Amino acid sequence: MPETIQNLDQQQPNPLMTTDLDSTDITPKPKKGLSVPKDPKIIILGIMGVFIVILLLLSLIVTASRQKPGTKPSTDTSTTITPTKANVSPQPSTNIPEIYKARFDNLDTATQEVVDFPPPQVDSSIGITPNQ
Amino acid sequence: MLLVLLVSLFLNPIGALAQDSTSSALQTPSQAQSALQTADTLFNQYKNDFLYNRDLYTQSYLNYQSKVQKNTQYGSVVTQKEKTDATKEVLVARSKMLKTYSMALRTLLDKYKNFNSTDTQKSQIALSKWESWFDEQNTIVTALNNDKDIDKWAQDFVTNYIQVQIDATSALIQHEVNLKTAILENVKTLASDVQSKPEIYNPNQQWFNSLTVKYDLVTTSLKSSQSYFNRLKLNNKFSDFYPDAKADLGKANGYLTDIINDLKLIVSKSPQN
Repeated sequence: MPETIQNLDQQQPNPLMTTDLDSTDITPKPKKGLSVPKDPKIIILGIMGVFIVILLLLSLIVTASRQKPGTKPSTDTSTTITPTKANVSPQPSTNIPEIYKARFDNLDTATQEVVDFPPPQVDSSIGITPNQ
Repeated sequence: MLLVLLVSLFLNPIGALAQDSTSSALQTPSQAQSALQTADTLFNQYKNDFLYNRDLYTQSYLNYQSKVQKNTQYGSVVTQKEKTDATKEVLVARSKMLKTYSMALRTLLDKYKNFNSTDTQKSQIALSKWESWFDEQNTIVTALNNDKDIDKWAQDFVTNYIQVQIDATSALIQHEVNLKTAILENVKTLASDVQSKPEIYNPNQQWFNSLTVKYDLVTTSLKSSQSYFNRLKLNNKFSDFYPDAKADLGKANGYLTDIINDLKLIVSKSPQN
């Protein structure tokens, strides 16, 4: 006598087995909030990118503050008259005979003499009526 | 005579440079040193005068700006008059400052004048002419009493001021050319003294040939720095040529330093006197 088979259309869960149905769910669920990549290289790249942006902003701020116009009159108040020394790298000491030493010292001093006496800055528009 | 020359070189470095190798027969070392000290003293005096007038100009300018602003705000008869008076005051102060600058520059040129007397004298004559012109302008400004006349005068001043700037900058460059020429002449004198010593070995003679090439390089650089004087006189606007000339003067200084270092090597490698 053939075995009668129960209706197999509806598969009932086996009450003896405690399986978590959620773990079998393969549909990926959207995660809430920002997704943080787990790859360390991407994290490092992201940190470096933020650092570069911060540096760029800082440089813009510094440049803008340096270019800020002043309120002084257009006269040169920083004219220096005292002689300044030019940047001449000294030669290593050599055995120069005494008879020539002073003359070489004089020449060295003379080559380093720089007189800074530029023409003063003036406002040549004083008295000129601006065009209306 | 040689002993006196050597003693003077020990005493004053700048005084040593003031000796003109071509006029040493006419001028004793002590006279050259004295002339240089006189030029230094005069320059310092005129420099202080210029600085004082520059401060006065700065104060007048601030006052002028304040009066202009006030007149713009209120536009009354009183503020208009105050503005006109402040304008005249600052114009006079400006001309005085420029005149004293020109005088200081003219005395500065005396320092090494002997090494380029023709070119230096040209610069000094031009500066002297402007000094008289500044005095004349101050007389005119004092007599002006309305904005229209002041405006016309100011426009003329701007036109003339271009040439003032050219001549002043040219004079400054001329002074530095004179200084470098003085150094070059002293280097040549020193080199020929060294070359004439019997202790210098023959292998060193070829070094002196290379010095001649460097002398020419110095002269070429100095001439190049002077070439800017005439180039810009045709322009209607002043274009500051001092930085370009300074670059050539820097080259000349570099060649001079090389020559001096070469000479040091030559004398240090030769037996002592």
